[in-house]
Amino acid sequence: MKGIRLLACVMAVLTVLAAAPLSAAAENVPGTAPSSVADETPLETEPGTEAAGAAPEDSGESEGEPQGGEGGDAGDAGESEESGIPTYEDYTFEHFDTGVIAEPLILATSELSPDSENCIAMPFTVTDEGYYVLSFEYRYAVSGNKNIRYDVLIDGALPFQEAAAFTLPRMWTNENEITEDSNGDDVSPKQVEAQIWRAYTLYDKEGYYADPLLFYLMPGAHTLTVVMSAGDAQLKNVTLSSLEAPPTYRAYLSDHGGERYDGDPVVVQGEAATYKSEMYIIPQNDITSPLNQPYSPAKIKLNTLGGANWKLRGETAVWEIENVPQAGLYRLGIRFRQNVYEGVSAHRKLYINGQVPFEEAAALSFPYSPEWQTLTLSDGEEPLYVYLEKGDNEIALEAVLGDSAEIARELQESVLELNTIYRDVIMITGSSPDDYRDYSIDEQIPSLAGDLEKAGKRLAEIAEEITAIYGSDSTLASKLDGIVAQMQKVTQKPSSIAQSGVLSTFKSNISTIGSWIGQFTEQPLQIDRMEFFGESGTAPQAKANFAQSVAHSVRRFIASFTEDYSTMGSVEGGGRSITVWVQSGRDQVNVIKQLITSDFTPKTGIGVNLELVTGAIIEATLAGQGPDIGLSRPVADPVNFAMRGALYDLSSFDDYEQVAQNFVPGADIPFTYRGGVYALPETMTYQMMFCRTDILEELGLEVPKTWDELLTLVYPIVSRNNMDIGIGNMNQIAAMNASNIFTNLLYQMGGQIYNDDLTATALNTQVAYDAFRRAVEMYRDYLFPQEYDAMSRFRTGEMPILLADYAMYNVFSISIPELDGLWEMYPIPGVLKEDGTVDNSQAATETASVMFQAIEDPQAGWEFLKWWVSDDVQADFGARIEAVLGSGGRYATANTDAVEQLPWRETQLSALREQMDSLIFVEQPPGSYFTSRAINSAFMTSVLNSENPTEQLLYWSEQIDLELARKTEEFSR
Amino acid sequence: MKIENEHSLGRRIRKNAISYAMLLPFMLCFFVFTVLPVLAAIALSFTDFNMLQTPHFIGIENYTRLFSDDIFLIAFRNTMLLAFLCGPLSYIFSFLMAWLINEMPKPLRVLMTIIFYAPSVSANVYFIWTYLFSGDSYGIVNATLMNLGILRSPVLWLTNPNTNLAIVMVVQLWLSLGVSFLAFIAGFQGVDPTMYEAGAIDGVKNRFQELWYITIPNMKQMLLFGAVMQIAGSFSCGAVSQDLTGGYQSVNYSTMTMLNYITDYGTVRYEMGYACCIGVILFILIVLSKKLIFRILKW
Repeated sequence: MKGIRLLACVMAVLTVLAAAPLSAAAENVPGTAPSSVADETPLETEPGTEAAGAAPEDSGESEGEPQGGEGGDAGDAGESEESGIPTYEDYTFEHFDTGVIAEPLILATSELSPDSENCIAMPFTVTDEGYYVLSFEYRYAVSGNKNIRYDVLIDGALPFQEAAAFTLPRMWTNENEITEDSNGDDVSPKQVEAQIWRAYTLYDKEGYYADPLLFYLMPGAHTLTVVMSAGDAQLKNVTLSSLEAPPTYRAYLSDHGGERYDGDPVVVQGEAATYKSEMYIIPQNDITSPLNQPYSPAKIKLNTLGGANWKLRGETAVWEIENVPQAGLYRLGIRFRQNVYEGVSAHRKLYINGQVPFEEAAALSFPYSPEWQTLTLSDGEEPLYVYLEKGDNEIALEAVLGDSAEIARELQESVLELNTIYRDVIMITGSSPDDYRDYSIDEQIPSLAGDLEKAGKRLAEIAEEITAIYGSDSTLASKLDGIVAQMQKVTQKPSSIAQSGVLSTFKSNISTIGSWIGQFTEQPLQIDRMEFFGESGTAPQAKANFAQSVAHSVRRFIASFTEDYSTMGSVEGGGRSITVWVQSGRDQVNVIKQLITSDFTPKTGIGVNLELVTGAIIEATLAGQGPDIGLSRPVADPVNFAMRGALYDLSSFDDYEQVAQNFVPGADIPFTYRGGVYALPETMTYQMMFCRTDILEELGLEVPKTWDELLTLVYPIVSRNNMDIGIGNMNQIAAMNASNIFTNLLYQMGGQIYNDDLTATALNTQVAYDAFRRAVEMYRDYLFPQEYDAMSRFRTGEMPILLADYAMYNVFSISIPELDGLWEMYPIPGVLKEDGTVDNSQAATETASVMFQAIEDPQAGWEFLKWWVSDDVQADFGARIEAVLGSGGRYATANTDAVEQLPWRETQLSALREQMDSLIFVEQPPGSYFTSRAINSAFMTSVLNSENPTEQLLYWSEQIDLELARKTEEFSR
Repeated sequence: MKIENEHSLGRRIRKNAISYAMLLPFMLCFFVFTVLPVLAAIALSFTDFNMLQTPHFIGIENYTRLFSDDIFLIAFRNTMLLAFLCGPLSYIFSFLMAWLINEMPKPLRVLMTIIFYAPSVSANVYFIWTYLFSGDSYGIVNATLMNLGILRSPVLWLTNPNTNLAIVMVVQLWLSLGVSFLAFIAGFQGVDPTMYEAGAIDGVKNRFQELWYITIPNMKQMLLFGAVMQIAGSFSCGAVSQDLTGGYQSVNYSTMTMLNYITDYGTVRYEMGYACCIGVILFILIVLSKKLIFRILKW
């Protein structure tokens, strides 16, 4: 279907070409897509997904191209493959730069809004043949959370593969100045979108090239089309111009005459950044140095910006300054810290009033140190001056890769190369080769020796480059030298790779190298302040001297007696107040507190006493010391507490039904006890199937949609090639209220765990026996791995298909950067129904927010719960917690609208939506804790001791029934 | 000590008022945190206390239920295995080790003492065993055995009911070595060297005779202390089986000890009455086995 929309877009372009007037384009294009899908990606641009073939990412080798996905889309993918879109490397190699471009081409100056197909088409005529750089200004017309992704088509086609899936970052600003709370601690300001026009030049997504992307244009009429994933951005001043490097410093000086300033420095505080390209680049507290401004030894002061949250290429912070005393030349000192990646530098591109002043500023290098440092602009010997206007100026720093770009690109290619060798080898030997067997591996893989040599050579080159930049004593260079030496050993005797010891070293080396890519592609930098100072001035002091350090430590020590860091503090309201206990981490609780301070209490006037408490909630309730509200409780708690009369029935509130709309239908089932609902869902997790699309393509396999396909089509080929399929660690069976192979099969085949009135199990049925036997067979007969580490096996490709919690998506994308674009997530396999549809139901597991019966002001508690699970608060919480923990800590909210607002990409969201449509929730009758362990025993005994599964299930389900009956009796007394 | 009547006790307390005042803080703590809970547990074991509602007296129902509870029998069996296999083994082993180490030169002795004592002071260090016995085919034990060709496919050491109890016992043994070990080292150090001289004159022929006729009789107190600690420890072990193998959630309850069973009823099922009842039984078992130890070691 998406391919059809691509076609529609291309058609639109052609229509535009024919009927030249651009303004008419929107009306001329027949609205083929229904309006309800207008917010979906018109052209699926995600590499490795459904229509991925249309826009595979550069992987440096053609076989690494992701495979066109499922069903009807495969055709489109095939087509695109035939059309042969070159990689950017080939593209620039193909066309020799011939022409000199005299005049920049101005495609449009007025504001352009996308048409109903989310396309903006701009016809133009080229006179000078040559390479052009695309730049434009953009603005978001509609505020939102998600960045638009877009493709650039020339004459209706992608000029090269990398021209797809660019991101237009929304700009964020602090809603208000930093304020203090009742404790005197700073409150992190809420991030709101700033819908400003922003100048933008098109660079490659990964940042592997220092120059902007080049479009080769022949003389004649062309059309440039920007195809967006959603229609809420506008463009103006779209220009194609020749590539111009920043001027040299000498040229810059001659253009910007002016006096050298001499006076008090102009101080720009990092945390005061006006605009940020990501909502998670927020003011941060740092208390490690007394020289941070502002400083307090005891209170929490937001005194820096960035850190580990400001690291990805393109992430930009903009400072608008007003108080420059005179126009002239200033020196610049930046007080910063880069303490994340040892031995490598972070890079930033400096813009002064929208321009990179001179070539040295295109990639400022911030070296590693655990301490705060100061960087002063200089060419190594002489200081460099920048020109500032009197009054208003705009300073911007953008994360760039600098000289790390080349290394990162080389490392990525190297890892892919090594992984291919590894996979080739294990396809013959298996992942643990038999040392006493001769695999005659060099005959089986004739290219092995050559491949190894090539890979070894590349690694040696990378090692040299790293040494050249960071010196030979950097830890990274020495580690790499070790790996290079091992590679040489293997290269000398290629057959030795079939020995278990050598192969496992080889594998761990791949992981090590893979983990380094992040160090070069990520550019974490924390900024305390920038100072523009005069000729005779000095740069900000970086490190505290001895006396300052001692004073700092002593004051911190004293403050540790006077300041209470353990309670999260209360937010005072107008008389009404509630006590909330959170069973979670400190970061989470801090964010909740920020939200309460800035949103809940001002709105409702209800004070909140927030405490971080793990465990002991039942004991506290027993003693009458319990909270009013408990957040982040495990899924089994609500019914467990409710049947003992400890919880408040939330369904008794009039607007409960309305609140329940926030969640997937059925999400309240685990919290329901005798007609009452005793909790609201907070988080919800379930499994997705992760596939290495590159390997599946190599093996000629489709992504399986059903278990039958998995077992009969995929499994034989995968296992013949000594690879594995991960259907989950076997001990997941011990969680019956979560997704695992047995519950999923049971529900997919139409069974259920408990009978309808929850008095007994429904496991002594034929369907349950069948599901159970199938699940047992997968581990026992198909020998799917019973326990494994998903990350390393997915990375090497030993396990090209695995089922895992959907949160693993972010973990994978952070930890395995070298595989970017070579894998994707899909709904889990299902069972084919008689009507031809696939039932891929699975059990989701939740955490809960509960309200205790003892609460004095139930209405206040209910207000709080409603507020907490509402769309905005959940989305805001998710965004803030991601700002603290990074995208690996993406919040798994149960609120379906809030999920959409988290920064998932559209393709992933649609996969998640598809899975969310078929979630089931397991009831929690009294005694349900017994079900898990009973099924676990039945399952393990069947698999490990080869007992008869049916007998085991029968025996244990009887035991469950007994326990359920006993518990039911206990609570009906 | 036998107290003749209230009156004389009162008088004696007044006479030694200062000593009793000094004892008071400890006695208060001991009473509040040890005696009282034990009494409360005994009382609760005759109720259906569920942690949130007022307990009802139900007589000996909990006890009668206990004796027809199959799963309690498994817990009982596992506890007995641990107590009477691990306990004496670790007792004998730590005695031999203490003896050997005592013979070593001082620097080596200090080092070895640390090595043996370290596991029992550093709590939760036993998690290292989950790493060793990981069920992953890349787990250390699995990978080693597979490389040697002993295993063909990975074994889920900690899940498989055929292996997990054995591993729990090994880990328990490893952990418990330190307990009596220090006492024994102290005991060896405390033997008067002149005794050995006298023994040599009286015709002790070898080190074993020395050990048997001189050392052991001289360190009877330490042996007794070690034995008591060992038995109490073995009866009340549960953390290892819970954390490594799932305890009350282990397959077919294969590694569940009585302590795990108490945890299960107390914190999962919230049946405090029954949990207390198991606790009382465990308490009685420990007291009885201590009596047994005293009987055995009183030669």
